[in-house]
Amino acid sequence: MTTRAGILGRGLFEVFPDNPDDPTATGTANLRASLKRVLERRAPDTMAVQKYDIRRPASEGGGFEVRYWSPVNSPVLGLDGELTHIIHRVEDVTEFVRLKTEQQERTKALEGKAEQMEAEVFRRAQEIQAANQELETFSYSVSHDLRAPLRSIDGFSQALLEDYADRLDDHGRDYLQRIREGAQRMGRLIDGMLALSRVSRAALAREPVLLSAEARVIAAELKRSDPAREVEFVIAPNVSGDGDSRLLRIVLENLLGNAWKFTAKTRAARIEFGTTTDGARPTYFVRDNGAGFDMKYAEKLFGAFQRLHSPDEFPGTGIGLATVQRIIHRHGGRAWAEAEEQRGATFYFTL
Amino acid sequence: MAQRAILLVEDSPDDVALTRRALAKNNIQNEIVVARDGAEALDYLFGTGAQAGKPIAPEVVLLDLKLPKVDGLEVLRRIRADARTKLLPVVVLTSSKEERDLVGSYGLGANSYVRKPVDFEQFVEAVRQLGLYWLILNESPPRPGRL
Repeated sequence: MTTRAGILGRGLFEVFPDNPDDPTATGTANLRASLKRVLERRAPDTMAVQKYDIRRPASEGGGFEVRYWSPVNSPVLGLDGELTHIIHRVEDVTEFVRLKTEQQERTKALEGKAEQMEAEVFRRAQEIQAANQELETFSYSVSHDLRAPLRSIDGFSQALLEDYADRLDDHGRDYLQRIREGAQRMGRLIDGMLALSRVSRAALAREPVLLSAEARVIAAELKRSDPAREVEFVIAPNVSGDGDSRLLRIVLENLLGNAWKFTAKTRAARIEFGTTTDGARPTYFVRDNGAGFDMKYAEKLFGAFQRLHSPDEFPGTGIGLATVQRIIHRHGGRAWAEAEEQRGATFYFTL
Repeated sequence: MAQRAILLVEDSPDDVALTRRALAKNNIQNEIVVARDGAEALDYLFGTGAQAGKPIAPEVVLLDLKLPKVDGLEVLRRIRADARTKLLPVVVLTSSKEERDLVGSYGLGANSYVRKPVDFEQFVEAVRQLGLYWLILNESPPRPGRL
């Protein structure tokens, strides 16, 4: 290592020569140029950050160590204005340069990664689009091709019932009736599945929706479908939410339709729609005082095709709630339910 | 006034049989001309191909959408594109409720769109209403080239 004692009184370039093993060393050349400028202009000259390797002592392995310096050469003028000395002041900025280089390398690595990820995202987006396209074609086929044979099954069974009534006994008629009901049930299942898949395919348009108004319209339709029934609808006024108006209508149709269905055997049926201010987000609910269900099975409630009642008790496909959940999830919300058997059920959702 | 035919464009023989049955149950006496694919339908309407020189002028066309050779929407397009058949009432009678079929059909000028129900009794009722409306209540457009 260069010691103070060892260099005092000796020439600058003698003490600090270029690294002989580095053909690209510019230290001495740049220093000479800078000193020359100081001489000529009699003004300080700041050099650019200079790489100048220093000798490593033999005890540390010898050779040269990479260092970076920030030198300033300043003139000292005598009383007569002539240059007498030049002060060569150097600051070791090796650490600074090292950090800077590291930082640049990290940035480059991150940028490389970002590019990779973008390419990946793009690829995935294309895959999804292709899958959606396939799904669209599939749904379209289902819509046509699966329902047609069902029509035949139902139609010709009915034809048999009508034209061959006298040649059929009670069992025969019963079997044909069951065949018809099977075909019709399958038709409803297909329609439910199509509706569910349509929800996933549809683009989501967000706007403020007057939920109270929708609920009132649906309630009126339900009442028209069975005027004999006495059901009290309590719909909170001025409830609105942000979302896709068509999809939210489907949510309300399903929830109110369920409430209607499951209060069929309830004497003083009451169906409510409103909001509870439960924290930052408004929570919407549809409540009925109908058959309810055992909370033990609450988990299964929103699964596609899951039912907690037999078709004899209450008709249904088991797809309605799956559709509701899918729509709510697409809106970034949550759907859940609470109920008590024979006391009623409340379905909550957020948007 | 002579009763005009109903042109039923339908590829499924089962659906043809069921539609005939539904029409019969509703006492609809019009002749039912059946075209099994889009090309045959156009032959009937324009007197081309196998129907050369004998075009028919039906009261109403019951048109299925998924047809072999020439599909339903193309048939509809051709019907509306020709002066002879531009005003012809066309009822799209199909399994599909897909939005693109609805938009496509109405967009091309269909007069009505009815989805065939699985339940046959409902189908009979639908045909009854269609018959009542298109054959009795509705005023037919004037035939082109006639007074």
